Amino acid sequence: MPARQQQAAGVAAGPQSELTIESGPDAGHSHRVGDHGLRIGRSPDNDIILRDPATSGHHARLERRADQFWVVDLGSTNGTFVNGESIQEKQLNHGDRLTVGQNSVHFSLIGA
Amino acid sequence: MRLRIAWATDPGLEREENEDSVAVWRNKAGLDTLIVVCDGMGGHAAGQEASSLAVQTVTKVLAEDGEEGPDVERLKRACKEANKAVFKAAQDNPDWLGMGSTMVIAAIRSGEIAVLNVGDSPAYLFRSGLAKLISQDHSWPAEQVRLGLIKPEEAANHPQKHKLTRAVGVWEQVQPFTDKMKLEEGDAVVLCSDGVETAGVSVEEMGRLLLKDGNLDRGAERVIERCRELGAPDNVTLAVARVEVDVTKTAVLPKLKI
Repeated sequence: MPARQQQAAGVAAGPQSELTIESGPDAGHSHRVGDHGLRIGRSPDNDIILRDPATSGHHARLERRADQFWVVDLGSTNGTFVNGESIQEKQLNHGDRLTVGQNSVHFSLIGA
Repeated sequence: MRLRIAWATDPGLEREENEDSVAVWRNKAGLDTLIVVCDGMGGHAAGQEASSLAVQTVTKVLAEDGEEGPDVERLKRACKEANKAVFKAAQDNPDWLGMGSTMVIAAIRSGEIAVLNVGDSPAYLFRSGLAKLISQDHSWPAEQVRLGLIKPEEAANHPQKHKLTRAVGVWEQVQPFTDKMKLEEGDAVVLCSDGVETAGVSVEEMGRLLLKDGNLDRGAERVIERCRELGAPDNVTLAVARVEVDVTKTAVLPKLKI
């Protein structure tokens, strides 16, 4: 339904982005990050659920601040990494690679 | 003394969920290295919740206790807190009733290691090509062997092998096994879930696969691959810390045989 998707994108207030899980048990899944943030973790109440022994229950959060996307580590046991560097919170750029537990997650801006 | 760390995990071929949890820390909590492996048990998502909560609580206590070094009393306190946290979560949520977890911890600093374990997830020390169990097996048959009631060979394929006499979060009290020792150059400490043994990979074979070249990450993957080749009926997780050999300190280099 391209028309409906376009409409939905038109209603959305700001830039949209996408997270693609590239490795780990949930490889291949993609998730849209838009006006609302996304929670990543092992517990069932997350938006992205990773079935991974090295991922914490509530591991990290993706959020949009003004026109930029940020990733925030939620006090995870094994940490959150952006392009290999351990972070507490960090602004994301198109093409950044996040590491959450054993999962490699690719961040891309839609339309970039 | 430099340490290399690696870990790997896989749900195995017969299970949908991975109920193991793993923590791998470097230069945190007053330690050079901290590795923790927990293997959860309980129906539905409970096993995963138990092991995840156990690892999270142990690492949080060690990060925040303001202490330093591989001290067994310190590990015991962290284990007790984890037991409390899992026990309480199970009491508060009917879906999680009866859940629990094994726990095995290696805390290393300046060539000293403290080990703690509860349950049947083993810790091994590989030194000069020999493997030694440095944790205590809290399965029912292993406990019977220690009491002198059955022979070790009777314990190997005992029908009650997966029944634990000690676990984290199942009872109000927890009684961990602890030990402390010195590490030497080339030593490797391996923590794993019982999925390695269940798959049929012997301790010796695990050591060979892990340590046959200098690449520990690849070594950990080789163990997982071997477990899968053999059918891997259970989740498999392993974490390894290896003391690097300092070649600059070797006084005399061995002569080449021509």
